Amino acid sequence: MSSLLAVENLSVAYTGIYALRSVSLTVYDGEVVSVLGPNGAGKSTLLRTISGLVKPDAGASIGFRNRSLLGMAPYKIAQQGIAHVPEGRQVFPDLSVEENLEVAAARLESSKRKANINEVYELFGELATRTKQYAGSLSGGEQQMLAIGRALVSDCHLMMIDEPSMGLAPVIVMRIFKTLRDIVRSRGLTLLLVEQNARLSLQLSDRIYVLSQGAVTFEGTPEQVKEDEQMRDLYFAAKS
Amino acid sequence: MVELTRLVQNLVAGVSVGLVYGLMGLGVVFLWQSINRINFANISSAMLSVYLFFALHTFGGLPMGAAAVVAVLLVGVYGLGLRYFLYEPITKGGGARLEFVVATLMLTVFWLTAIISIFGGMPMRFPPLFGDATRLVRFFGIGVRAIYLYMIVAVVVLMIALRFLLRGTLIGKMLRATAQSRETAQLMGINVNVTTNIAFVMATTVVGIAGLLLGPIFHVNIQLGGGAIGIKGFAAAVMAGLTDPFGAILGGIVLGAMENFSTLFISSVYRDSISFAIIVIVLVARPKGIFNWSSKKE
Ligand SMILES: Nc1ncnc2c1ncn2[C@@H]1O[C@H](COP(=O)(O)OP(=O)(O)OP(=O)(O)O)[C@@H](O)[C@H]1O
Ligand SMILES: [Mg+2]
Repeated sequence: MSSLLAVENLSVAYTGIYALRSVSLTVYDGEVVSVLGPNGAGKSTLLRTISGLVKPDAGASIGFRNRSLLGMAPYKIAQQGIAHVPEGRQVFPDLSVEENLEVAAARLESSKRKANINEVYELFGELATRTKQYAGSLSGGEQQMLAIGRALVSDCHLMMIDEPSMGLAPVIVMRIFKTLRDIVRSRGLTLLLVEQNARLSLQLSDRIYVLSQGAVTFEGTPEQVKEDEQMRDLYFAAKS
Repeated sequence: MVELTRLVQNLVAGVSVGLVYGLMGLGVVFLWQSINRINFANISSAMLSVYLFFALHTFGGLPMGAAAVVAVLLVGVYGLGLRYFLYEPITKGGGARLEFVVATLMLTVFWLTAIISIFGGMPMRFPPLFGDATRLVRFFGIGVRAIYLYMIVAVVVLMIALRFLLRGTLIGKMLRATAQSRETAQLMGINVNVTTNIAFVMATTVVGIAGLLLGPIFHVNIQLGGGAIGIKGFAAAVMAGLTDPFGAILGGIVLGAMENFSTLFISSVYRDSISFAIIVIVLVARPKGIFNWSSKKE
């Protein structure tokens, strides 16, 4: 299997303080990979660096479909087929639901764009009944659906989602994870998921990375996570 | 008592000049929205377009219509110059808002002195781009100067076009998305380099058009490049809270009507002092803009 995304030796410093320390991570085509870790572990920084919003130290390499993303403008990286659903959803508050989807699919031909938008409406009925509503007035759950919808309409190959469960009621979180699973199955989409909710991520993922203070401290399958005593204590102690 | 016809005449005059202030305010709003900077050289675009128009027609021999179009286009290109010769170098050098403010203030002075050294400081006759601009057009027994009607028609047409651009076209939606979050816009694959260029061009173009509309009233005059007029366009934008293009137009109307009525009821001597006093009071009372009724949190 060839890798879709290959990150090697990635170090990122914010004004001298390291948020990532020589992180390496590989995502294969069609996989669901989760990155777990506590607050401040560097999860968002990892996604933001892949997207080109944050510049890594020299010596890093980031390859997508064997093409280096280093030094590429963020919008060009997005156009390669990487959709980043950012932390906190970041919908455009003063654009309508439909306009949010339209700008995310702006590169596509208009008939394709319309078809993709309609697919998102089928997936998330809540959005279909609110096409003209300003995104800023949607509920948190609806905003998350819109944020995922924006990634889907762009015809991306790799979707990177940053904490989709953040601030949402458990029912909505279940719903979103179920939808993600369906999308991955039906579209063969590759997913790089950042989460603090380990239980749900494990159910969805093929492989797991654990970040802690900017470094990868564990890498393996969900089964290996459950077998690993330290991991079990960290993530499932209270519940089992 | 002031008679009704004079009241209406003043209202029309006030509103039309106010619409043009609003148009200038748009220039401020566009740049604030796209790069989060206040362009204190906003007004220079009005003066540049008027002098360019004057020179192209008088010395260049272009017919008035063509001279006006070329002047406005050149001022649009000048917007790109603002970006690449001022904004980008300042930003690359680590400069932030304050540096941009100082640089654009200097730029206003630079353009004023440049124009004075080329054309001299004395006002010159504005070529009759709008025909006899001061002739009275009669409606129901009320005479209104033609130029005011031109102003109203021009600004209304521009606003309709602008509204269509921003709400009805994909590129307009991308402009709005970039204004709301540059970072997220990039994650959506929007080339913010292009949308930023469009914003700069739009910002100087509307002010260039505003300048030509004020020409028949203010003549070819360095007044158009600073001072009271510049501050009023600016005030229109600020009164509307700097974020809403249509609010800036409304701000302009309020301002224009206000200063016309203060002339009518009090005295033209105090016109500018009264206008500026009211602007200051409005800003102190509603720093987020008079039209900001939304409950949105920051
Ligand atoms: N723009 C920034 N400037 C300075 N430091 C930053 C910046 N962004 C993040 N950091 C720091 O980098 C570290 C990693 O932050 P990051 O947001 O990547 O963590 P995270 O794993 O996503 O956390 P969370 O789960 O809370 O979202 C933190 O210590 C944070 O304070
Ligand atoms: Mg985070």
